Amino acid sequence: MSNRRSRASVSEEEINELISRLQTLLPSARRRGGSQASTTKLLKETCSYIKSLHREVDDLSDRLSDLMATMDHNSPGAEIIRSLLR
Amino acid sequence: MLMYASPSLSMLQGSKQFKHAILKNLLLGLRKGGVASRDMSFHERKNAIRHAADAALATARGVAPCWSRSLTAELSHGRHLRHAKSRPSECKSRSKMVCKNKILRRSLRPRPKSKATAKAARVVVARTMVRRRARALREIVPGGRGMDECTLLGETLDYAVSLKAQVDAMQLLCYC
Repeated sequence: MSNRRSRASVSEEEINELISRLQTLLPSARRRGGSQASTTKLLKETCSYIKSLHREVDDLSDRLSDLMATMDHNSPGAEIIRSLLR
Repeated sequence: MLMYASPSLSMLQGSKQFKHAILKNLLLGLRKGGVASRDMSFHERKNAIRHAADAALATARGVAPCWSRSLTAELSHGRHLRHAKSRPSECKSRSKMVCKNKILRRSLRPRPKSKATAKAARVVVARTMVRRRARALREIVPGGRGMDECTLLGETLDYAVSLKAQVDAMQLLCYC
């Protein structure tokens, strides 16, 4: 394990710490071990997770847009939104 | 606008104050964006909502993380880069949002240093795979392209937690 510090700007310890925090964050965080192979998987899951969050934001924007389009109707939700926005 | 610039990630995770700051900013932004107006088309309204949501997130998070500053900069340039994969017609002229993934060739062989053992070679290969994943992350985290790997990982964490809070805040608004 000597001289593993190559040109990479990241130290093993720092990576491991961030990896473990990612593990606790991800919904499917059940992984153990700090091997590099699971690091790759973890990063891939993180990518998927962030992308899924983007999609959720997009969907929610759709919903909000629909909600506001119907604001002239007197639904309870519209009433609340209207009062919040005025 | 409210800023909840928590320095500690663990404080941020699941934080009600952060969520509420986002929500409050979102309402202010929606009001400012005039989304209650009836004259808007669906897409105009949706884009205004998304814009307000991202501005709310970045402002609430504060300027500490790089992704937050990058997001603010993107917003002021009228971006719609990361979202809207479902509505390609909403793209502005920049086509940056499609990942320009340069696929690393599989022929990338490990290049052990002069006194490397087999194990060190495996580590190099693994690092290569990690770099490939890091490359993907750079595309989706705002400002990721300018970051070194360690910064990128930390920023990714922060960004993911913040995004979750943004989703939660918007759900509060949607389902009230």
